[in-house]
Amino acid sequence: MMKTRTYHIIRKVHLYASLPIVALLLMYIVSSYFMIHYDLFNTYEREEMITRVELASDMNSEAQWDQFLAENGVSGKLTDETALPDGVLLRKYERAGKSFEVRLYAGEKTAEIKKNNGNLPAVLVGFHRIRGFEGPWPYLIYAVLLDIVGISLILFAITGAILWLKLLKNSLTAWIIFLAGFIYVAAIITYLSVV
Amino acid sequence: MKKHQLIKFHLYCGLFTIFYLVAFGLSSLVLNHNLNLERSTVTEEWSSVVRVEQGLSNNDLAESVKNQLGLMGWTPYWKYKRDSVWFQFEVSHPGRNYQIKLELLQGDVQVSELPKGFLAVLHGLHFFNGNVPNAPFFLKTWAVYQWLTLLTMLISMIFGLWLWLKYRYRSWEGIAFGGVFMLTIILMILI
Repeated sequence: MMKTRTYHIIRKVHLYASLPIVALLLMYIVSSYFMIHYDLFNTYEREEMITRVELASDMNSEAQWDQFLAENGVSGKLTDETALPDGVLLRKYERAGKSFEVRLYAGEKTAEIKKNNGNLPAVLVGFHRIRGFEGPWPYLIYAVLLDIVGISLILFAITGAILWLKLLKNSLTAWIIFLAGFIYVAAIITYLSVV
Repeated sequence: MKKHQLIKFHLYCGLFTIFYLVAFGLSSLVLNHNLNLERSTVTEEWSSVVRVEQGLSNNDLAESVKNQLGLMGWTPYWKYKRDSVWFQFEVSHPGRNYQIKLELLQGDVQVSELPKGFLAVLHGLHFFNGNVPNAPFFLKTWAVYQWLTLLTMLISMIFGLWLWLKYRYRSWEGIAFGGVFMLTIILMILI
């Protein structure tokens, strides 16, 4: 039998694994719905705007880039930098529900900025999709939170199962729900692995 | 509803979503660290003969061969390679890749199978909605399970929070976790 002290510790772990991730979990649930029903909410449609601007500097340093981006309303994390033919430099930036493409025509001292704006479901789906330890500091902290979510979900599920065995071990309904879920998910994984 | 009934309901909801939570917890870590779990070893090779209709586009030809071979999956267009003799493409689904080499004149096909492995399949459930071309009805039921799981998770979360607030709430917990909640919202505004 599980000791009372162990039971209390596990209950605390279950509670403390879930509470820090409430906001993110809620976002995941809502945005997943928008992803599944993308056609109902126009989740992947974007409003596109293209502008052409004169360059005030030669854009040789990140400080000049930062100033240029701030002046022209481009934000987010850098996701791609490619040197195109004819000396054109392409940089892509992304944030939740928005993306930006900057084409730098160094020879002409001009730049073309393409902005794509999504609707509210697109922003929520953007929160769902942003990941990785790159980019400005808010993205790094967000990535740490995402790791906490991943670990918490696993801990939360395991401790939940232990608490169930303590509280409702003899409940037939609980066993049926548990085994039905297990058999279904195992069958899906097995089918995908074999076929 | 009495306390023990609330706990029971919360547990039932949790038991329904438990495997989904573990799969998604693991998958979130994999995505955040950009890990590649897919194996790339050919485990089986076989050959067959199919009917090749002349004049089909790459996409239509790939779909036609896939259907004749009875394979399940998508045919990503960026994997097409064609010359006057051979047409190579892939059929892919969350559990397996098939590399296919078709001889255009006789219709001889060589198929190499590359299973992705258990961890990759578990991770693949993150993106899986049951809608794989040529999938049997059984796999399509995943969409219902996924939808029910999201709903159950939401209900379970609300009941869990209610239980905490009503029976176990401590002010320091409220301040600490309320703070993390606010920090998360602020971060979402910034990113």
